[in-house]
Amino acid sequence: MTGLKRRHNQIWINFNTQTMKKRLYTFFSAFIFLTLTAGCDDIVSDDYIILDTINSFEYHIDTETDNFSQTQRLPLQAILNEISGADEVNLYNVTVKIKNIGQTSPETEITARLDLSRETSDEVLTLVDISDATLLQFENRQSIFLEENNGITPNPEGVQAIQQIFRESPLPVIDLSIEGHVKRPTGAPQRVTFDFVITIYTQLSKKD
Amino acid sequence: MNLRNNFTRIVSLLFLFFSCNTYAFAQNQIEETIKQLSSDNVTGYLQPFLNGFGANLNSGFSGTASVETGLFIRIDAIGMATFIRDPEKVYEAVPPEPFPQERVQTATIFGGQGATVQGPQGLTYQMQNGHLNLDYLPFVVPQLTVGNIYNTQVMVRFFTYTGDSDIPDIDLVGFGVRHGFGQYISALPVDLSGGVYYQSFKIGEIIDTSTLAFDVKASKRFGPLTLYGGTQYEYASMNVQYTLTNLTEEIEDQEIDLDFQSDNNLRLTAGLNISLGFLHLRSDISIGNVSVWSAGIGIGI
Repeated sequence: MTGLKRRHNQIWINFNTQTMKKRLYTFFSAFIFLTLTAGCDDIVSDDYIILDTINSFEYHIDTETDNFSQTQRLPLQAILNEISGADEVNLYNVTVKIKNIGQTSPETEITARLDLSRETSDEVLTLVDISDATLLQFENRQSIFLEENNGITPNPEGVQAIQQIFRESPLPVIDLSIEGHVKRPTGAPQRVTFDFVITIYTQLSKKD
Repeated sequence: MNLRNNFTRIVSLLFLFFSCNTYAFAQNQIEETIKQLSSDNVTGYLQPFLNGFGANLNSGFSGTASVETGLFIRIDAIGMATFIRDPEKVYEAVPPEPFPQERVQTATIFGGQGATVQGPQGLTYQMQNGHLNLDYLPFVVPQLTVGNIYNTQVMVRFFTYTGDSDIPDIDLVGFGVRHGFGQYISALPVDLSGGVYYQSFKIGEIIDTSTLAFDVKASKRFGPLTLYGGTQYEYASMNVQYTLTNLTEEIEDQEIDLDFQSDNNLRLTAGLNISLGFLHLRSDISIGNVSVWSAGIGIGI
């Protein structure tokens, strides 16, 4: 009787140990599986990757006269396509800078106008006016959107136009022209050389 | 046969985790996003990730404080999950010029959409979005424990993945040493042990994490069950290296090389271990600056 009971108990213990093992194993396997893979379907948010992109365009000015004028044609869509495919484009800054690449006196003053036009239109809008600013003042990049920057006066109509252009799809081809004149300090050489650099800052949003 | 099946299942789970394409995609999204962040903002964006990731790595070393001299070999698969609270989904960042140089609250890596900042002349700037849509940060590590000589055992955590260019390379190496104090204080009603653990984890080419932890653990065995608890001092640091690329010759690329530390240093842990022959199961919860749940399946003697 005792033996039977002991055998019975033994059988009961074995049965329950096996069941418990199986259940615990299943539970822990399921836990780890869910912990690690619950994220797989849902781990990545649907929000876009945002890529900040910067493009610079240089106007090389080399003149012995007082006036200068140059135009660059910018196929915006092609330029952005070189960087990556984008679902949306947001223009968030345009800066100007002058690189004094020769022996031009940093005290040389320039008065200039940056104009914007579409390839398909004769309408020309001024983006920004620069008045009596020395080369030294534009040694560092200055935003055309900040009115407090010395020597820069943004034109609201032109500023709105360039923002609107970057909301279009596909992006158009535009012409950016720089036109102005220089005022040399007394005794400075007649030849004036500098690079006028326009930098356009955009954000590209894309899914992948 | 049983041992082989268990091992196969553990390896399958690990493989499932590391081969999850979506996870890999998230990694690449994160790499892309990090490369867009200035050095001022990248630490705030990643800080919650380091807190959670460091806490995960510093979890689940053992399920008992009993370390007695004798043969001990065990392989474990340890899963961890750090809970992510709402404050860890936002941080304060500074937008670029010409936007006002004031801090704005925006999404961390665990947040949703980044804030949109208004600038002069109607300009807008969208701060980076969060990319991990998680309420907890999961992780799993394989661990081999061998010993015990002079009441001391060593632990090794190792995993490496190099392959598909879409999935960043992953390298995990960790070592730990644990010593049982039972031989010195035999009158205690519980087992006591102390350990030190170091781990290095690299994801892709830009993130390198290392952790260090010291713990003191107590446990009491009741048949196949062991209750355990303890305290741990820990440290996690992350090095982020990338080039803030300016796609123009006029502006030079900026090399970013940043080290920052996790916010969690002290934790209390309580857990339950079940040993059924060769099979060992355990689960514990740790409370500190962040809360971590870990669970492990181990086979061995």
